[in-house]
Amino acid sequence: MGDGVWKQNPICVQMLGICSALAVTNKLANALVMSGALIFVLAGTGLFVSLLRTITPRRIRMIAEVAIIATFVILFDQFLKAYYYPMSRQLGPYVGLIITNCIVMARAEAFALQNKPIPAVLDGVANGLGYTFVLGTIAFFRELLGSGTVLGHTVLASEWYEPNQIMILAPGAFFALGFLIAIINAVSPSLREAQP
Amino acid sequence: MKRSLYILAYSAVLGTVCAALLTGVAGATAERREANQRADKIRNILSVLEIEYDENASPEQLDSLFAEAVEDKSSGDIELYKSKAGVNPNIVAVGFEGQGLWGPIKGYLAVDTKTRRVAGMTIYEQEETPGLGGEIGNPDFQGRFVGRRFVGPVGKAGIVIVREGAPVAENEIQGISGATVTSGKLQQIINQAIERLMEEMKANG
Repeated sequence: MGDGVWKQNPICVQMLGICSALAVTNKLANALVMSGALIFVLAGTGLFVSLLRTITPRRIRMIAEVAIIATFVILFDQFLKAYYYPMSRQLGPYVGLIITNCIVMARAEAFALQNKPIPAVLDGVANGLGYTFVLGTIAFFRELLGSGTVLGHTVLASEWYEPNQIMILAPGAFFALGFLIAIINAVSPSLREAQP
Repeated sequence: MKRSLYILAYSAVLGTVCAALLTGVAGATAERREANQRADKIRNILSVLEIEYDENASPEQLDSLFAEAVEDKSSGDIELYKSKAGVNPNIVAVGFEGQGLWGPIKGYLAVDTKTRRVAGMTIYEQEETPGLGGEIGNPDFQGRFVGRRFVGPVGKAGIVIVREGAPVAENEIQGISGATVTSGKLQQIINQAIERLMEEMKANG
C-alpha cells in the first residue's frame, strides 16, 4: 500500500499521468479536486476490474477496463457539473481526460486484474494519494509563487512580493515538476534504481 | 464459436450496465446541470451589458435579477437583450453561436448600435484547445474587442481577427498566436451575428 504513495509514486517514479499533473496545478484547489476525482476513479475501477477479473474474457479485457473507467469518470464529471459548477468550468476538459490517464489503466492492468477486490481498492487509493501528494506539492508552490496565495488566501502580501507570472503558466509546471523529481531523487536514491 | 458468443454476451451486459448507470445519473442531475448552465448564460449577458450582480448568487436569484434588469428583444433566430436601466440606450447584446475547431462556440457581443462600436464580448461555451484556441475564453482576449468598430472602413459589416501584434485598423482585433483556425471560425461566427443584427436594425429602422 505504501508503495503507491512513495516508493512507486505514479508520477515521480513511474512517470505516469504527467499531462494532467501539469495542467491543473496552477491552483491548489483545482489540484485537490482533480486528485479527489482520480482517487474515486482508481478505487472504483480497481474494485470492478477485480470483481470481474475471473469472468472477463482476456481478449477484450482492455476494452472492458476502459468502459469501467469511462463510467466512473463520467459519473464524477456529472456530479461536478451539477454541484460544483464553477470548479467544473475551471477544470474544463481535464476531468474527462482522466479516462485516458495512464495511471488508471496501468493500475487496472498491472494490479486489479490479478488481485482480490479489497487490495485492488487499496492499491487504487494508494496510487491516488501518491498522485495527490505530487499535485498538491506542485500546486502549492505554483499558486504560492505565481499568485502569492494558498487556496485563494493571500499569504505573500503584494506590497513586498511580486507574483511570478511564469509559475501560473505552463512552463512553471515543468519547472516545479522537474524540481520535485530532482529533490525526490536526491533524498532517496534507491527510488531511481527501483525504476522499471 | 462458443467463446465468441461469450465475449459478445459479456460486452453486451457490461455495456448495458454502464450505460444504464450513466443514464440514471445524467437524468438525476439534469435539472441542476441545466440550471447551472442557464445561470452561466445569464451571468454572461449581465456582464456584457455591464449590469452588476452578486458573484455567488444562486441560479434562482440570477433568474429573477435577469427578469428584472434585462429586456429580452429576441425574435426568431436572433438573440437580443437590452439593459432596462442602462445608461446608454443604444447598447444591445447579441448572441452568437457556431462551430469552432473542436466544438460549439457560444457567447454574447454587446454593441452600441449608434457608434457601431463593440462594448463587450463574452463566451460561455467553447471547447477549443486549452492554452491555444482556448484562450478565447480569457477575459484579456475578450477585452481586445471593446471599443473596436464592427463595421469596416468601406462600410462592410464585420470584424476582422488579425495576427497577434499586427497593426490594427478600426475594425480589426488582434488574434491569438497558434490559434489560426479558432480565430477564423470565431470571426465567422461573430460576423454572422453582426450581419443578422444589421438586418434586424434595418427592419426596425
